[in-house]
Amino acid sequence: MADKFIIAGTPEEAVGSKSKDNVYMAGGTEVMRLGSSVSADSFVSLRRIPEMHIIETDGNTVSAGASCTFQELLQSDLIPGYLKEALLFMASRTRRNMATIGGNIAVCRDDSFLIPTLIAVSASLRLSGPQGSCAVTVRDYVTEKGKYEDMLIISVSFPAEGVIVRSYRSANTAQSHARLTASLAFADGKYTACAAVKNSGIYMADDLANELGSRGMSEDEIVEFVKQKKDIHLEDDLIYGSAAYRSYLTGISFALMYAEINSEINKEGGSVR
Amino acid sequence: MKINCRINGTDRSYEVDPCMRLRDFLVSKGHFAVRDSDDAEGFCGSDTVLVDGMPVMSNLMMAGEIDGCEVLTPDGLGNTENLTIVQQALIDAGVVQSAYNSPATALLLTWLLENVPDPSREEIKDCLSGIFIRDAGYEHYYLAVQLAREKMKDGEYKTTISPSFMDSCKVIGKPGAKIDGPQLVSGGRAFVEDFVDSDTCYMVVKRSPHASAYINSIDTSEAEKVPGVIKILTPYNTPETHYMQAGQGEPEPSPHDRRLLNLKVRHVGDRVAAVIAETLEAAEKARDLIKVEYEVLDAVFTVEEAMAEGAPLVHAGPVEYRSGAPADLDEYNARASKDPREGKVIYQFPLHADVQRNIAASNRGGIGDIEKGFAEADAIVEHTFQTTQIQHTPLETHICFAKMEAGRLVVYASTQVPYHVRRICSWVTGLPQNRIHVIKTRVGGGYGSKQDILVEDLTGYAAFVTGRPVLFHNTREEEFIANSTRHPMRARVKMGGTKDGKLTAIFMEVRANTGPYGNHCLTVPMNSCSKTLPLFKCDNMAYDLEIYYTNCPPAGAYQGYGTPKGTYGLMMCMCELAEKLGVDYKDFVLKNHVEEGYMLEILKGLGEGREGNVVPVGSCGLAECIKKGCDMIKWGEKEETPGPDWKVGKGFAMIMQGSGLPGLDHAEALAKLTTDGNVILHSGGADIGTGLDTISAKIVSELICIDMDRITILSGDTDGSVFDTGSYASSGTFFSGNASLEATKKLKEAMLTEAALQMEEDKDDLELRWPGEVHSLRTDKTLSYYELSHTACSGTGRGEMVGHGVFTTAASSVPYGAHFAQVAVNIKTGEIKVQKFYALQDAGTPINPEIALCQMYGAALKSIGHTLYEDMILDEKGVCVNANMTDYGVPMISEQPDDFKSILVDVVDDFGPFGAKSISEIACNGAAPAIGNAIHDACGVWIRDWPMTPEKVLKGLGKF
Repeated sequence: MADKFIIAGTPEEAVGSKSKDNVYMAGGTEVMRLGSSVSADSFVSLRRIPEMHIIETDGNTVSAGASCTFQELLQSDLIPGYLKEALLFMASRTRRNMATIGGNIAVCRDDSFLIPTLIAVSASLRLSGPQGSCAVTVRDYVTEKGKYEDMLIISVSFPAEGVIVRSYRSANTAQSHARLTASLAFADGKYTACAAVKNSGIYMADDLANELGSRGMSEDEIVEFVKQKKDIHLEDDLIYGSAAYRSYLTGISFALMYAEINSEINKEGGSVR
Repeated sequence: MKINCRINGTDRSYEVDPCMRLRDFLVSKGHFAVRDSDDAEGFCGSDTVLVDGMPVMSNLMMAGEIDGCEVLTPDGLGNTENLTIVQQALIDAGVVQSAYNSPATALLLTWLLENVPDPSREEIKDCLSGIFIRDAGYEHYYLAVQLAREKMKDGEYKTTISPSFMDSCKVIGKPGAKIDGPQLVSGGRAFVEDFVDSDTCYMVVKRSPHASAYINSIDTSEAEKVPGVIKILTPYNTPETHYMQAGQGEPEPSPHDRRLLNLKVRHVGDRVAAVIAETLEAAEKARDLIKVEYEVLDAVFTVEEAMAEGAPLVHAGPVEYRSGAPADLDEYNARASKDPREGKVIYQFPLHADVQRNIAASNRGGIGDIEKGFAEADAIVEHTFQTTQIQHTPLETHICFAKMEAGRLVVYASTQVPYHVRRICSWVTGLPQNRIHVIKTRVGGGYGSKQDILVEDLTGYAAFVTGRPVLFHNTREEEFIANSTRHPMRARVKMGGTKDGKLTAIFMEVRANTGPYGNHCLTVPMNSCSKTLPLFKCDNMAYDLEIYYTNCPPAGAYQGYGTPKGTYGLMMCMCELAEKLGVDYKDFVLKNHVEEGYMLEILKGLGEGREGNVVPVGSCGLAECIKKGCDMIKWGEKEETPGPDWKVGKGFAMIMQGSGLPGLDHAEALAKLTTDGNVILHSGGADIGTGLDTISAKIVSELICIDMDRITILSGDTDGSVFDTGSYASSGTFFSGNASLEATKKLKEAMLTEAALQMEEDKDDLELRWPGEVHSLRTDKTLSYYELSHTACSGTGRGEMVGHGVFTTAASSVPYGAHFAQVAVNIKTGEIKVQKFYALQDAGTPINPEIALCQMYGAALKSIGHTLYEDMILDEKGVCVNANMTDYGVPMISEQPDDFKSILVDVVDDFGPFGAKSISEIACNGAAPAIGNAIHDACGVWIRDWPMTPEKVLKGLGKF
């Protein structure tokens, strides 16, 4: 019975307890949920690893333990506003008391609450596994998921300031799965864009970001640009809408976020171009 | 694994399976108020508990994780006899209704107030963001918090809970004292699942993966080998009795077109077989081992497909009539399929059906000269409105527990219609009704779905044939695919008027989709005309209804019945016609709505399959609702937009419903004085959380002049009560309330008669007076109720005083109202935000005003959900692809309008008990047209099919 359920007290214990027969369990809101993508009979609980609940800063970098719940992060003064905006995309307070930042990244859903924002701000992860520890960007973690499958996310790091970020979520109701979560960030004269499109995937919109950075674009141009993007594979979806709608929505959300970021840049006396 | 924890203040030590869900573990230890509404979807919040002082969903946690933790469950707060301030405030605010989530909500708000003594509106909203409430809306939860704060600080409530009505009465029309509130809010035993015997067996149903197919064979041999399996029911070993599941008065205006288990499956999710086993796991394992060979048939899913030439037939077998068979029936049946697997369709009386064209029922009629009316019009609008299939989503999914006891079948049912349950269980088991006892428990949400006998038939039969106690509980997915839903409907409305603002003609063509079985097939679509056209003072009106069988999931009764859909088309057209005629919509509506005394000739053809009653408009607060609502929402004034991409618009709709079915419904009650001078009232009525028992208690209190705590209401028990057709069609207050009134009047009469004998006084000189005594106006002598009853029941007395009330009527007490919406539409993203929603209703005298207000909030929010978010989506094979709460999309506190008001317009009705009319069903009718008209006002787009989504807005704006 003891093998079936392990409550780890340290990251090392968690990593040491991991086997091919069990899975890590963070907040439970994905693993325990009806229709979960995770199927397992044995678990390593991460809830009681003190190190994985720490939120701290180092210069301009904030580091949050992977077992921090959404609500713990929201209540911390160290967490920047842009991440709090994304954390609030999870509408249920009770679930926010359970769901963790590490868990949300690990399951890598295409309706992820946090991944687009974390990718847009070039957040990184500290991972630990049987072969040791390493750091990796959230972007690499998502795009090369298989490579890190058995590794434990120990913490997540992201900038405290110096980045202007807008995130957008579109869903039927606040509790519904998102048809689109998108984020656009501006830092060091560069844009970074990411979109999670339900039943389609998570996209790094580098070409759009580059265009925005190099020449600036009108709203119509952005919508049209996204429409022409070949790497976003959109099909008509019975629940989440037609391909045309979702393409338009992705484009217009980037356009609106771009306009807002520009407006903030201008307010601060700078310019994108 | 051994765990040590502290549960509700007591240290505990258990040996547990650490991977068991925490909720299952807690329930196994007796904490049954930790409920499950979503099969661990993490949506409804019924499973909320506090772990180390933090609200969590116990279905999403493992039992092993509470080792070393402190756990507080909802039953760890106050109990029935000793409620906490928060629990009492929830009752007093009126939100404890069907109450399946009330214990969890009490726990959350207790936690909030302990951590944030003066929470803001946003903090309360955040606290409740993980709780789904379908019955009462969320608005009065803010009030409950306010009341609790006041009580904690000042020892008393400062805020007025609701307006009061009927000044001459002590409890009627006054808020407070919902009699089942303490039991429900504290998590006492209340629902079917709380009464299940420990030796119960479990039933699960094997369901069809096909939308239409014949069953060629069912092989249960492997399934029967599973240890613990007791019986497997299939079409081959169950009765061939044809019946229907609609809980309607007999003879029903619905065809008997199904058996317990059919040899032709007609929708994905249709019953194929049922397994009864000693454990749920064994039942599920056996179900998966049943092998079924199907002959898959072509299916139809829409009205258009069903009506097409040569369309596959949903029911291709012969037709029978219990009365009024057409002369050419033999000829008709000669063309029917000879395959015995088709079964047959039996009509109790003609519903103008043609199953060989998939038509389950039809009706047409009207008044005046419709063509002449259109010829006289200066402008005409004509549009088709489409509504989709939506689900009731009660928090308590359908459940039944049945057992044989002393040769009788005892059925614990969460039902709106206990007597219809008894009748249908009698049909399927063959037991006479005296050998069936139906016990209606508290009902964790019905909204019409529990008017239908969807699980009691099979569960009752399973208990009968096995002799074992049997529990059946729908999963949430089964609620979507195998229950009743709102009929998808297409309404073509044509409306004409003159430039001076007068309506000259209205035509409605309704084509409804009843799914595979004909529950309510005629009456729901009929309501789209019979509860809408009588709003209009128009001489020329006509309607044409056809209802089609299809292979969609079944349709049935749903709060509002067909009325929301008719109102949607009519009031949207009226708004557009006003615009076309160049008249103000408000003036147009005011000029053309009916008033008291107006003779409703249109009703003649709009009975429930029979001739309807033509009656004049009775009490009517319609004009006041419209005018007051227009003032509140500042009709005609433009509002500031929330931003440059947002447009703001306003809309409204007038609405009506009924109060039961005059000439068809029937209610009874029995009031008796106990030997110590208190009252027990046996009501046939089925309180489904709406406060009907409280209404009966208030009526007794008012007439017998005793406090509510001296009155007990026993209701919905077929052994202990007297017949009542049930709680549907907005009949509760009007019919069952009037029966309670009649019974109490007779009890009062009996008490006065007996008192006159005992006091040796003339009966006319006696009165009943507070706090419960007989008083002589002539001699000033008094007689306590104790003495009165005790003497009457002594060896020389005349026996217990009893009043038997029966209520039937041809009178029609129609509630009216007007609902108003202000929306903001984002023209870039299509997002629609309901900023304001005002529901104004004339409910006669609201007997429980705070409960009435909450029902208005709940129904209005529900219909906002239908209008904007909710939609059962089928793929090309008829599989519902969003059969869960998250994907289906019900509104929760985040979707509630920022400014949400329910207003009761004070009108006293001539026929209702103490002037009361119905309240909640009508509140489902206004949102779609009010919001639709407001969207058009905001951005110029007419949306003529619900749900009104951002995608439709953007399409209307030509964005893609």
